[in-house]
Formats: sequence, C-alpha cells, structure tokens
Amino acid sequence: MENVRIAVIGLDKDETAFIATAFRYCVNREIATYESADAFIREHTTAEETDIVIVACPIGSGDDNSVVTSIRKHSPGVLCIITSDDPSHEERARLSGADGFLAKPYTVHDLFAIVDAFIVP
Amino acid sequence: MFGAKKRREEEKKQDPVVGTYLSDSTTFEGSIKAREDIVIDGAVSGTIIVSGTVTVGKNGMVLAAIHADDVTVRGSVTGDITARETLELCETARIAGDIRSPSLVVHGGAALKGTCSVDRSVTDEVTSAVLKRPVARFGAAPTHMRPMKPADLMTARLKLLIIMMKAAMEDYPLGTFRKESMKENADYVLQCLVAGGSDGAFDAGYPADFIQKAHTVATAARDIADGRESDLPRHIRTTINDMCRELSFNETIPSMNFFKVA
Repeated sequence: MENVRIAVIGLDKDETAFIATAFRYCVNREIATYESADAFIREHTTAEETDIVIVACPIGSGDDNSVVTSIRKHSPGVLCIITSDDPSHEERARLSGADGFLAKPYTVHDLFAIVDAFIVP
Repeated sequence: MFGAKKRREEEKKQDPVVGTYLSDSTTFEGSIKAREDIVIDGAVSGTIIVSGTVTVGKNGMVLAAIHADDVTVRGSVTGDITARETLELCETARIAGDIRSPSLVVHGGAALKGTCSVDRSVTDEVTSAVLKRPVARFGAAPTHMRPMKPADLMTARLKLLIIMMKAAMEDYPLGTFRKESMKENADYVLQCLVAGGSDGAFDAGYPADFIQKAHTVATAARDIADGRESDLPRHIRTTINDMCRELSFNETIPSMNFFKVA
C-alpha cells in the first residue's frame, strides 16, 4: 500500500501523541491528530481523505449516535479502530461497525500488529 | 489493499451509482457482505448483506435473502428481502418471498408472491445483520483491560526507542517522518527522565543505572535523527541490549514489515 493516511482521535494528548509517533515511524508519513470526532469532521477536509482512523474517545451508543457512524458519514470507507479500557466497549465497537478494537493497556507491538493487519500488503 | 480501494473510488467517480457490479456473465454462490452499493445483473445464490443499496438489474437473478439499507428490484428475486430504508419494486420486478421495509414503492407491473410488511422495526434488525462480523482485536485480554497509566506509555516509548535504535543498527531506511518521530520519541523519554517521575510518568521502578542507560540511548537516538551520528558506537549497542534484558524485552527486533509501506 502506498501513501496510507492515518488519523488519531483522542483527548489524552500523551496517548494520542504516542500512537501518532509510533505510526509516523511505521509508515514514514505525517499522522493527523484530533481531540474529538467532531474536530475530525470539522477540520478534516475531503481533500485530505483518510484511510485509517484510530479512535481513542467515547464511542457513543447505538448505530446512529456512534462515533464510527459519524466518521463514516464524513469519510466513507475509512477503517475505524476503536481503543478503550472498558471490556463492554468491544461489543459496542463491533455493533457500531468498527474494523478493529485495541484494548488498553496496549504495547508498541500491538500498534505494529495493526500496521501488519491493515496496511502491510 | 488500498490500490483496490483507489480503483473502486475511481470507478465510483465515473459511475457514482455503482460500488460493486456483478455483470450478467457472473454467477456467484455464497455470502456477500459489503459496505458499498452493489448492482447485480448476474446470478447470485446465498445471502446478501449490504450496508448500502442493492440493485437487482433487469437481468439479475437472485436466489438469496437480501438485507440492505435500500433495495431496488428490476429483475428476479427468490428469497426474502429486508430493506432498512426503502424497498422499490420496479415494473419488471419478479419476487418470490416475503418483503419488509419501513418504506415501500411498487410500480405497476411488479409481481410479488409472498407477504409484504411495511414496518419500521426492521431498522435495527438489518443494522445488526450488517454489522455482526468479527472485529480485528489487538491489545490486552478482556480480563486485563484497564486505563493506560503514564508508566505504560513510558515503557512503550522506551520499547519504541529500542526498536528505532535496533532498526538504525541494522541499516533500515530512515525517511523524513521516521527521523522526526525518532527525535520526538527520544525527546519525550529524555523529558520524562529529567522530570524524574514526579508526575508518575517514570514510576516504573527502574534502577538508577537503567535510567542512565535510557538517557544515553535517547541522546544517541536524537543525534541519529538529527544526522549528527551515523555509526552507533559499540557501547551504545551494548547499552541497548542491556536495556532489552532489563525491560524483559525481546532482544531481536520485531517484524519490520511496516518498512515496506513507507
């Protein structure tokens, strides 16, 4: 895959920065970061289409209110990976149509595994 | 993967209606699950679950249950149809099966053998049918899930630092953004070391000599990222290997497949 575009959404700056640093190193491309899904939708133009979004923010409930649904309305086809420390969020992530679930605490190897699973040809 | 995605996007631009097209020369048996519109002019048997619109063309012959947001039928369907939003039966439609949708449009000439239900309750049913699929899982086991602590992030940063240095030792290519991330990671580690764990970021119980080693390696990483040092001195390599042992970290670098994508 060439020129993969990744965005990280999360309020915790240390965590978001770490994820962005690890992915920036993996794919050798700039990684966009946003504080919330609303910020992603507001600031992210369609010209900057994104392939993968790592979502480290509240995922919402139900289909219509879920952050995945909101993101996909803005960026159809984007791969959404939800990260959470709450085991019940795994099922909610699945029901909301997420493509991946990153359970906390995660390691740098888990981030590499995401790259292997979704990006490496 | 994204080559195919780009191609599909180009095709969509040319024909915004079609995501996936099964022509009249196509026969498919099995389960179709898609997150884009699909047009069927061929023969399909099995199950069709789509987050989007399913259009059965005039030549389409479907022997399958269809679950989708919107369904338009111009051809033949033998099987139940559940549409989350709208079901449209065109004048050439031939249906043998039960149909359900909150919104139904039937054109004169359409034929239906089966029951018809105009029912808003199908919405959630189709949603879960579309979305019930495995999700790739990474990270802690469910029984070990908890919030990330500053020490978790610091340990992860240290391991990333070691991986970056190991990659540099083995002459993996460094691009502009790799250098930036290497510098940023080294700076973060150095800042935490200087802070001495006052904010809990480095409260991982590492002994003083380990902290000194981490300082040495982070400084070397910053020098490499800045282009000030191209060859790693032998003592840095030894220090990195010592850190691996003390972090209970595999001394061999992990799969570097991601270098293929840069």
